[in-house]
Amino acid sequence: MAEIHDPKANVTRTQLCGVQGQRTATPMPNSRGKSKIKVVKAGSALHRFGAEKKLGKDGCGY
Amino acid sequence: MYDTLSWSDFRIRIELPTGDVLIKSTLTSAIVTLHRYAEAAITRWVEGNGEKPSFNVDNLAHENIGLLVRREDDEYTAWRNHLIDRRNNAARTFILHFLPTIQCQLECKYCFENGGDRQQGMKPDIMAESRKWLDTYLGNYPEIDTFRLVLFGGEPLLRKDIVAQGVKAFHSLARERKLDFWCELTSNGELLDEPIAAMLSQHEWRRVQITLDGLKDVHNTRRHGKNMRPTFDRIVENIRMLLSTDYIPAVDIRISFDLTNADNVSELIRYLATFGRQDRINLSLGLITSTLGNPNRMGEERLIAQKALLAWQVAKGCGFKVPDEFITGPWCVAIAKHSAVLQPDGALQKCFCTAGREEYNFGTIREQQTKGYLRDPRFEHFRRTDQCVKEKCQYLPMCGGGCIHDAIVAGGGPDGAAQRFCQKTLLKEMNDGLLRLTYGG
Repeated sequence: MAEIHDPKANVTRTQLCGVQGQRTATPMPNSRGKSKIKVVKAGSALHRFGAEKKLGKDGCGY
Repeated sequence: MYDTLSWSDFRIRIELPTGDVLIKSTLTSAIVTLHRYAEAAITRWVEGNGEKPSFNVDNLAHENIGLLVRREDDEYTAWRNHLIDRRNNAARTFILHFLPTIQCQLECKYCFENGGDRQQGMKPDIMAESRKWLDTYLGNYPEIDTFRLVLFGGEPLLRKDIVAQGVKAFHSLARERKLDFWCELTSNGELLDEPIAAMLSQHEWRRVQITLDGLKDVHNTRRHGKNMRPTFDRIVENIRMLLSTDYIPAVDIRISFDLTNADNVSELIRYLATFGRQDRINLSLGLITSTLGNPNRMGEERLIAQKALLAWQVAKGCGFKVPDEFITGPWCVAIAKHSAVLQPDGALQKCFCTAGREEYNFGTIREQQTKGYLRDPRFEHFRRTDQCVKEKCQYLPMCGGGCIHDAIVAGGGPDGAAQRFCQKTLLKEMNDGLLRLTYGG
């Protein structure tokens, strides 16, 4: 994970994380693709505003 | 447009050994994973120190993700305005906590109802009047489309007669008014036999919560009857009955949790796993807090969280569902607009934790009909979060200033309701831990 400070280091553009200015020997996963950010759980803008009909468990857990 | 974005203040993050980070919006509950270098690139971009990353960063600004927000937005003011607006103008559910009695055959020392007046039981005339009161109320608020009835106590099944009358009366009222209706039961489980289960199952019974505090010896030490009468075996027998029948889809087992039983809880969870019905058991931990009757009980938050997370780790290993977050608000039945706790004498309160204490009554079923919505100003102190806003607390959407009952206890009485009750350490420890346990691989 050590950063490469030598500009002549043998690192290709895609290995540089696809981000300008960041020079690292560790390539980022999926650096060429569009799936770099993975949503592991969908959210809702209304999630905290009582929009869902829920059984029990409001705040205090009862 | 996206040059004006910044990270939302309402986010928490944990780093994983893989180099990835998990980031969660405390507002939308969305969770994303990305490499920490990608996170750093986004940070540089939003701070004006780098170009826009080439990957799908725009997704983070979607309203249902909410991890990037417009720089000029005041998230805290927007959150509070939205909360109050939804609470006041979008309330469609009526929540009734129905208390046939405040008596209980158990003598749990930590019960929040200890110290109140627990002698009264509901009389038939109150039962009849309560249906009439509710019918009038529902007529005044035609926007209500859902009726959630919670059978509560004391131990509600000490008065099975009133429970049966109440469920039938309220279910028929819901039918007449074409409301979505269901009932729930919060019980110690000792009296929950098959006849009462069969009766409830005729009335949209969708939730039951039964409490166990540990294996037999520990449970019987904490949740015993008079003269230390043991209760564990009968309660477990009734749980097994519910799991072997179809009266209700699942059994919620609440484990009251503090530092004195924490180490035994894992053993209880392993025991429950031997039932082989993880698909029909929902576990929850009820962290025992200070009460009006005993204001000095809550242990150190970090230690409580560590013990609770250990229990959840065991639960996960046993195949039980594990929650992915821990919240202390911002909604509860006490804050909801159309909600009430109906006590045996017909008095109305907002919070069931104050049952039996008349200084928390805000009306009765007789006088309330002409008073507008079910309002107790002590549960509408929305400015109690001012300090949270000042501190830019990322947990505010999961907390809303904390439990008002806890604030009342901490403040020594009703005036405490105007204060926040901050449990930031507990929120951080629990949510970091649950995020790691659930999504950390």
